[in-house]
Amino acid sequence: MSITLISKEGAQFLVSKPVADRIGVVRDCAYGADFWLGYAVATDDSMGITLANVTSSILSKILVWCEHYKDMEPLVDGDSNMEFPEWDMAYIGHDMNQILFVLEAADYLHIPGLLLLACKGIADVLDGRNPRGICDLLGIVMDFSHRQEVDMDKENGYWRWFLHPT
Amino acid sequence: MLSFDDLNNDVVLHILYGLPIQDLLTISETCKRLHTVIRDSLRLQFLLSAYAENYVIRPQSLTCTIPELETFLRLHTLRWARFEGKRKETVALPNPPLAKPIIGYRKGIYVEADRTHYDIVRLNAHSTGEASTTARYPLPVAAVETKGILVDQDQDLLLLITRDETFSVRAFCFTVAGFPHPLARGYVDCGIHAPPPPLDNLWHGLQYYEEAPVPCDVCGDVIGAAPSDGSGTVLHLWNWKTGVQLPQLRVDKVYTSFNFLSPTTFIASAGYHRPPTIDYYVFGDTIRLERSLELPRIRDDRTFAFTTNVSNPIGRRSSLPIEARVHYIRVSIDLSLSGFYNVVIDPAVLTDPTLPQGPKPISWDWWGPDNTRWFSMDGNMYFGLHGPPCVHGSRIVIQRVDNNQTAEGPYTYIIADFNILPSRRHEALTGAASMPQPTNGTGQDIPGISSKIITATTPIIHPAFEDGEIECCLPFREIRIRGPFARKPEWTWLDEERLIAHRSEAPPNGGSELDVVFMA
Repeated sequence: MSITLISKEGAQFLVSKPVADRIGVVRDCAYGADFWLGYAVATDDSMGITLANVTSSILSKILVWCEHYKDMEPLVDGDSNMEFPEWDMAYIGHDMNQILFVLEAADYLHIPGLLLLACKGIADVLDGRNPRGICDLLGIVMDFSHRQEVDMDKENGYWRWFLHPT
Repeated sequence: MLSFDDLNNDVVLHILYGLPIQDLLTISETCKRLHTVIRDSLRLQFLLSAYAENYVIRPQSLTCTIPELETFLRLHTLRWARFEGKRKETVALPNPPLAKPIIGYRKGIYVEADRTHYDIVRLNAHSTGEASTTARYPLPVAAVETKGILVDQDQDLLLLITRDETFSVRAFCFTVAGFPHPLARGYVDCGIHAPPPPLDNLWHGLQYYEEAPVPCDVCGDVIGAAPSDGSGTVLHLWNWKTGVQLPQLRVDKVYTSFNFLSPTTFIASAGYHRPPTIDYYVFGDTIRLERSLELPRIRDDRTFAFTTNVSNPIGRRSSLPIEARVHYIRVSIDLSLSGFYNVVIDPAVLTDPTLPQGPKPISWDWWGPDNTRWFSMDGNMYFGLHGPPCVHGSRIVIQRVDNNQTAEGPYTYIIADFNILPSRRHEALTGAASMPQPTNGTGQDIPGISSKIITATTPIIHPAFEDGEIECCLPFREIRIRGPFARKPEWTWLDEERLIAHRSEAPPNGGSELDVVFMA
């Protein structure tokens, strides 16, 4: 059994069932209520699912991840301190723009493992940067007034000291 | 280009969730949206409060703004120390539930605060959360927000950190009884002392301090830190409940101005390099040691407390001569590591050139001979005050040898003893010290008493250590003994006034078992 995924641009990706099962949205669409109600799942090779918010390039990248994890369970819970396998870290890379796209797509497609990996990738990229560097990286415009900035420095400085008194 | 602004809040929270708290603070400085998201994040609030709960503060207070706070707290006496392994208790919440969130907790006490006042709620029945009494005290300033309330588990101390409209953070110290903390007065630094050692680090030896001309808050408020007029040293006492300073005790003097008809709780401060050992002697027809109170460790704030339950033998209100004395010099070494220690004391090497050469270096092991006379109750080593290794200025060399016979160190420690006045050092070192005469408070000799109380050279061990039970004093909540050298029992508080524990039969290196005996 295989499922055809259609990207935003209309490109078609033919993926096998275990790969497609990694994508929560596809799984829900393909199985529908029958799956959850315990009925037999209809098998239709010609089934096509349109993922209107995901571009071809990102979808192909996500399918690489799904292909890799078709047989094993990805990590789905943890924080930025957890260790991911090397393959994962190489997969997510350090390109912030791409990670953000992957993150958005993973959120849209309901892939918790990939979502966590993308968060980890962002945390790694942000690690050790100052606020201005983060703004440049993420395309954020600093919209604080000078007074607010001073106050925030003061307060955050206090908390930083509080957390690490030495 | 996809930017952060295009992501919805759910995704942003996903990212923020995994970040450590320092990165959260950094990101909150980028833009208003993220600032709002992070400030509203329950996770951050939780983390901060969790951090706050895990910190204790030393009870010298100040009112200052952030830079001053930072400078003071980081460099000087006020120091946040993380305490590890504290047992957190679970208690039943009061019924009916409190109207305001509970923001501070000590055993049986909740603390709440609003803009102008803070409330201390005492649970009469601690375990069931029954009827409670509330005391309401005003805050010194009108605070927009009370960021943290820290209730020191170890003592009767409450710290409130408040913030006003300009984000100025102020810290206030109170006793839980609602008074300003006795040590919350002005900060005096004579400027010639190193700051106290960090609480959590292994610190190698004592700093060598000269006697300060004035009492200093870094080293000061200590027994013997400031010998005055050659008449011994001063022990400052505060009534722990009221924060009122009591008349000073002088070491090597006899005190006649105290009424011990009813038990009274004092707090006294001592040098952090000095174990709080205090003996009470009752003078009468005979001289009797009424009580020798030995606290297991000196507190990081260099204070200790004791309850005088000495009864007047005459049975009426009169004065009792009381002798307060320090018996040991502490060398603080982290002995919690496993391994075997060879300890070498070299009294021949003296930093004071006026002192004569001492005997040959002594070396001994953990089970050393009697004349070395040291013991470990809490991972620290204690040396008798008047023995040759323990005179002022002696240098102690300690080498740690582990089970694989690999040596670490040697570390050199220099004993600084303020109890021995410069004029008496020679006597103390050569053993030619004359027996001081007990006198009454006015300096006149008490006729008929020529005793040897002053120069006690034998470590006096509280009888409680022998039978494994001890009743201890109010401000201590919990005393943990750990490490391979902890031969003493663990203690645990049962209620406000009693600390009961049994010596564990576990082997020394695993002796963290605790037998608590509940007394009727």
